[in-house]
Amino acid sequence: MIKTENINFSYSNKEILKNINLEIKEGDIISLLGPNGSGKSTLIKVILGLLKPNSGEVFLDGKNLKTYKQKELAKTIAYVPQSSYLPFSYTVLDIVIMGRIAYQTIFSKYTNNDKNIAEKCLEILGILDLKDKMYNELSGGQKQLVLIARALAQEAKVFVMDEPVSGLDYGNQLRLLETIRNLSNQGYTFLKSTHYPDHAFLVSNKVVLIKNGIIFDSGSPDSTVTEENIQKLYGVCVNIDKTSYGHNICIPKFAKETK
Amino acid sequence: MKKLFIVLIVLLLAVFFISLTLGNYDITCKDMYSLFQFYFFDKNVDNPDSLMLIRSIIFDIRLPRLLAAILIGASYAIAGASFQAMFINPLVSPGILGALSGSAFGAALAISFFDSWILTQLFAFAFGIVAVLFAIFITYIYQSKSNSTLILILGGIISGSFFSTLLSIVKYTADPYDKLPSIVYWLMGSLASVDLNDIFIYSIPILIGIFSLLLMSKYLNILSFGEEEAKSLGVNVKLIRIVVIMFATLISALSVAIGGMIGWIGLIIPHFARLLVGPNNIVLLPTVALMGSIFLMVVDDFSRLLLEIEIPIGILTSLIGIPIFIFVLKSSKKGLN
Repeated sequence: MIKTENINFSYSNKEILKNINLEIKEGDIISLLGPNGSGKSTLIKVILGLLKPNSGEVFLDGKNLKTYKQKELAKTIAYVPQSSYLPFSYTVLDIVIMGRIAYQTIFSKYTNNDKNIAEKCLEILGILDLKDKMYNELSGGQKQLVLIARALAQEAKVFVMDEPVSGLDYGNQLRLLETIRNLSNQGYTFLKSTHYPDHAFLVSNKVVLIKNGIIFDSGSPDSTVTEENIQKLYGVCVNIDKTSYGHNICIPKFAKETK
Repeated sequence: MKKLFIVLIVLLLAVFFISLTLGNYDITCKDMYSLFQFYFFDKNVDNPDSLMLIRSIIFDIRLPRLLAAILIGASYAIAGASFQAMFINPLVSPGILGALSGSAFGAALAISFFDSWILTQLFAFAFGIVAVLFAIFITYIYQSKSNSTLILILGGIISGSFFSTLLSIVKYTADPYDKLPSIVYWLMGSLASVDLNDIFIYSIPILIGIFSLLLMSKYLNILSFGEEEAKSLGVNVKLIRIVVIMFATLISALSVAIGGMIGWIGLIIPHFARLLVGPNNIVLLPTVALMGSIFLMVVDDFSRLLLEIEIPIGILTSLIGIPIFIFVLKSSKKGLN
């Protein structure tokens, strides 16, 4: 579905991404793991077409990203940003309807159909009751769900998320991961950057490890998120244990020492 | 929402017709009615002489002023609201890119060198556009990849200060007995010298500008998410910005050309309207246009009636605007938290 070929990107003289080759298949949930400043966000922006790589190509559905118009692209890839504060306080429904902008022309208005789609998307995520609330008055977790609803309204197949769980409380983090997994079962594809290796074990089917702008390992979570790789990536020691459900889980070394 | 628009339109018409009857010369509703009957139904009237006087007052003096107030009020309000949405900053006003400073300089230049009302208007308009182009040119020098709206505001501030300085030079060198008072008077804003033909000519580009900005409203909403999010939603951010700057500048510069410097409308009316309808530009932009028109007509009535002599309208919009603004800021939770 998405393929990057030898992506290089630099800001002025600083190389951010080096020779990135990545393949994303339909229904994948890919976790992008890497320390701060490793190039995760830059890679995400290149794939979204927001930054142009210095060399290399991105292919979306077999077509070069460069040949896509902004509108066309929005109908295929949706960006779900971190929830933030908006200087203008729109209602939740207003915001989700704005996901339909790619389907508008200069003279058109949002129709009842657009409104119905927006409400349906809120319903899928179980937050239809929030529709008349002010976006800025929602909690971080609710805001994140609203932004996912907007991406659903965009009718894109690929959702790109930059650290979606950051700033969310534990309960909202887990609810968000569950939402991602449910949507993936319906055929949506996810590319998300994250700082939590455990979240990769919980929902991802593929993990990409990135450090200093280089992908140094990728594959299934169990084979990629290893004690050795975590040590290389973050410089910390962890043990990877198996829970009784057969799930892998990271336990920091010091946790064992204190017991 | 529909209800609100109907209320505002009715209010606009009511203020319009009431304002026609207000002034130093008393014109009653009955007079208006007979004038109306005379014009549209060729009905004979008892007192043709007084009717002609009334006709002349209405058509030569009051109607052009009111139409100018409608156009200018709507222009400033919608230009202000559009810029606020585009810059994602509710404290931005139509002069943010230097248009008003440029126009003030242009008008002062024309007043001190020529003695022509048309040239004053033309210079005011032209230099308003020049100032904005200058601001955009400064932005291009920086060519910053990130946060281009901030650089644009910086360009506007530089351009605005530059033309303010030029204005000071013109004022300093102007003939203090003849030209300087005219410049100062012009800078305080007035709708006294507009005539009906001018207004008809002005109304075409202004209405085009207003309707174009109305068409931008759904895209302006998207811009408030920031550049990257707006792009990923499928919006051509650059194009929308160019179109908004173009039309907002056009109608602001034309408004200055008609009525001189009339401040504050572009700032207070959008805030006030957000209290009523929230920040969604699809509803907000038509609301501010109607409210701006009503506000300026009312202020113009005060400028004509409050004292024996006419008070410059720019002074009144500030005097009335500032307390309203303080009140609105205090209670504006709905619009901008």
